[in-house]
Amino acid sequence: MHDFSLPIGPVNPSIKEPACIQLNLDGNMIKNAKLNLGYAHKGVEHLLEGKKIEQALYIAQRICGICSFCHSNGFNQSIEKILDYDAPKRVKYIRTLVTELERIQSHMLWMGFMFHEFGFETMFQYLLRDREHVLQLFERVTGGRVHHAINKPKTVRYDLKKQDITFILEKMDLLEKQFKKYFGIIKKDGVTKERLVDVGLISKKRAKRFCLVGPTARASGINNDIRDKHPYDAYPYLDFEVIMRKKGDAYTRLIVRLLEVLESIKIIRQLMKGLPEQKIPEAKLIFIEKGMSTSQVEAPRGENFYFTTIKNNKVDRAKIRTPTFAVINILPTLLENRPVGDVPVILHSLDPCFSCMERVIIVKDKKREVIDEHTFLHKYCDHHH
Amino acid sequence: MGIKKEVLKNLLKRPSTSKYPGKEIDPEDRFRGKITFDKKECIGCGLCRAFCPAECITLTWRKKKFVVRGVEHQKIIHPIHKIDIGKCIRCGLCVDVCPVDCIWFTSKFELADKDKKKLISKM
Ligand code: SF4
Ligand code: SF4
Repeated sequence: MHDFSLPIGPVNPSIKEPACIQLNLDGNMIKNAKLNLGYAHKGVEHLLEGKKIEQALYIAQRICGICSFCHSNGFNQSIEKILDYDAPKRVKYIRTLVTELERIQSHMLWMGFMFHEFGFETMFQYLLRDREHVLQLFERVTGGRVHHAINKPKTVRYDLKKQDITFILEKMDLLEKQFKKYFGIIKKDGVTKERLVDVGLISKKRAKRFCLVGPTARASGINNDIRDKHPYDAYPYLDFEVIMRKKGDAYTRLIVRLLEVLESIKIIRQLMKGLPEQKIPEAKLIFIEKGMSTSQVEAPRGENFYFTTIKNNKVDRAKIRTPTFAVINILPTLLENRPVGDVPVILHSLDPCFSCMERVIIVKDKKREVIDEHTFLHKYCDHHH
Repeated sequence: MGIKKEVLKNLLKRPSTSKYPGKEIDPEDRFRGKITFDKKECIGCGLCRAFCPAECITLTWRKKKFVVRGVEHQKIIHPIHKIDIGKCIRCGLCVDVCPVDCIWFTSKFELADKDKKKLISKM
């Protein structure tokens, strides 16, 4: 048997985004792996600098096509914190509605591609078919299927109409029925279990060490749900459960996300029931002389962190920490001592999004280096403990 | 098993996709499609260009005559000239800030083109 190294990517058939995973193999087993990033760096943080607040809001939402609203909401929240402004309850409810719809949509897409990774194409098609219902809702409520642009500083662009509420509730019933069916399928299906159970195991201790976030961490028994820990928007008024499991393999991550969709449906029903009758304020231009704040929102993939400083009504600096950035560090360790065939499943079970994730580029001595946060801490920070 | 039932049900159902180019699709009211503008209405305030985050609005210039106390004056104003749809991110800021509402979204969504120049909307 020969040892050899196998690069997967940056253009590869499994993941739809560019990244390079360098595998060192011993036969079919992976000895160690290395992740090379830097093929999709967009420089959004730099793009944000010097932009007006209203402009920056819409540039921020372009960071990701799947959790677009969470980015605009994160930025907006930090602006509202600087202004010390508490939005009316109806505005908060509408924002929460879009957040939860986005979570459903994102988890459905993720689940679909998870099944696609190990060849369960039927489920893939069913999930994408049902995702269309959510996209229709988006089109109706926000006017955009992917980029919603419904947020505005201090308010939202559109109010909810009466007929929208019935439409949303109808679709939620439909989705719930389908998801209960899918849950039954996933619990019974042999192939799904064979491919996912005990693959990519993350223990609680390891999850803590790698600072995992979102459903990935919750599948390992860590509750770091921002909706629960630091409630924002309408979450303080809602009654919901944080889905947690202990085992931490790819199968558990699938179950956690599936149950989260059902939980989101529950949340949306509560929102529609408790929606206060209020007039939403009209959008006005805002002015901030100087200010600095941070904000956190729970995106479908986990905590989305924003640090913003404003000077003369323009963004001076925006530091964004996307959830995928926190999660991907663990990938090389997960791949060790696994067969090559498990790479797509393990990679996808972390729900990576490379265009969100690429944030740090270091140019030193004319050498360009793209690194993740973990390596950055080890290499460039002396007192990182 | 759930999946067998679902498959059998789908055998009897009509396809859930529709024959797209032949069948017209009507987007929802709020849908933000292609952006258009009315040059004649424009007062040349330049707000839309100042606020567009994608910098896709170009202004032009024209002479405008106006009369004060019977004396004719001329001034140059900068009305909107073209919008590059290829760059536009459909954020709606220009629509919101325009004081005379002469920019608006249409529901046209078939905007892909092989030629970049065709994506520039002029009037
Ligand atoms: S919608 Fe936004 S990006 Fe498009 S032209 Fe208007 S301001 Fe610019
Ligand atoms: S904001 Fe309206 S009136 Fe002002 S320049 Fe633009 S199109 Fe013309």
